[in-house]
Amino acid sequence: MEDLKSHLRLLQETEIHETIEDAERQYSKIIEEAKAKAEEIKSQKMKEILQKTQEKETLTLSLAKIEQRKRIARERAKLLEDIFLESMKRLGRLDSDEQRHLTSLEKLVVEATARLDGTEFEILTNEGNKKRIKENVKKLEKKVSGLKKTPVRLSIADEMLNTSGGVIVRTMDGKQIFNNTWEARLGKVKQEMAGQILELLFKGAED
Amino acid sequence: MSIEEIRDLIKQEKKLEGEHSDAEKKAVEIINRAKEKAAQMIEEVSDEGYYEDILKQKSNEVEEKKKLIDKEADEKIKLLDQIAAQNREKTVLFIIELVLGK
Repeated sequence: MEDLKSHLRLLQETEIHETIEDAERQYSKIIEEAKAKAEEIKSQKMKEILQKTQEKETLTLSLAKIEQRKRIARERAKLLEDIFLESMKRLGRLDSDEQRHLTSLEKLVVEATARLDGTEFEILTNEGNKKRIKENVKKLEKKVSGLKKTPVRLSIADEMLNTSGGVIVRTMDGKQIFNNTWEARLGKVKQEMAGQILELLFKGAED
Repeated sequence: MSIEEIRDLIKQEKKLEGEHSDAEKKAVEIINRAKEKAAQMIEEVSDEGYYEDILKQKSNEVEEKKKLIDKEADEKIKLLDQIAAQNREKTVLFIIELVLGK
């Protein structure tokens, strides 16, 4: 009888032990699977995050670089404009340098007439230059005639030109005009030689 | 086997059945605990908040790189200003010469 009871007890204990052990094995399995799943989710999420942040980084930095280039371009343009303003200001102060003024005026009249057809031209300019041209008109006619290889006659128009310097030369019939005022020349320099001037202004700067 | 012994056996059998039932309950509890923990682990990594720090860190890194680009622009502009100041006079003279006619 006692043997039977012990046997029953042993059987029962073994079964209980196995039940608990089995549950613990399942516990470990469930946790391991969850860990693997969590790792997979995490890895996928990280991949997505990295991709998104990478895209955002590329965009942000590209925009920053564009803005950097814009800022530098604006600064260069501003410095260039300053230089032109300064040049114009200095030209305005040239009145005190009579000889230089006269030399320039001669060159501008000769250049303007050389660009036009005909032999009779009218010069428009400001008050100061009118006087200078009047005093030197023969000399100017001689120069232009030599250049055109034909006698040329120059006259000064009555109308007053509102300019800082230089001249406008036109044929007597008014069909051809050449604007050689300082403003026009400066505009031309800006338009045609900005690259060269930028090069000179920023010589020594790496781009 | 006497009646007394049979009764005794039946009594033991019932006691053992009770113990077995307890063990099964415990096993179910263990498995349920595992399931809860597993669900929690998955929920944790599925939540966007879990990645907030990483996102913040990445965002800060980008911000730092952007600041560097801005700083670089400041330095380049400063250098341009310095060089333009150095070359200002000869450039102005060059332009004046062009305007006056060479």
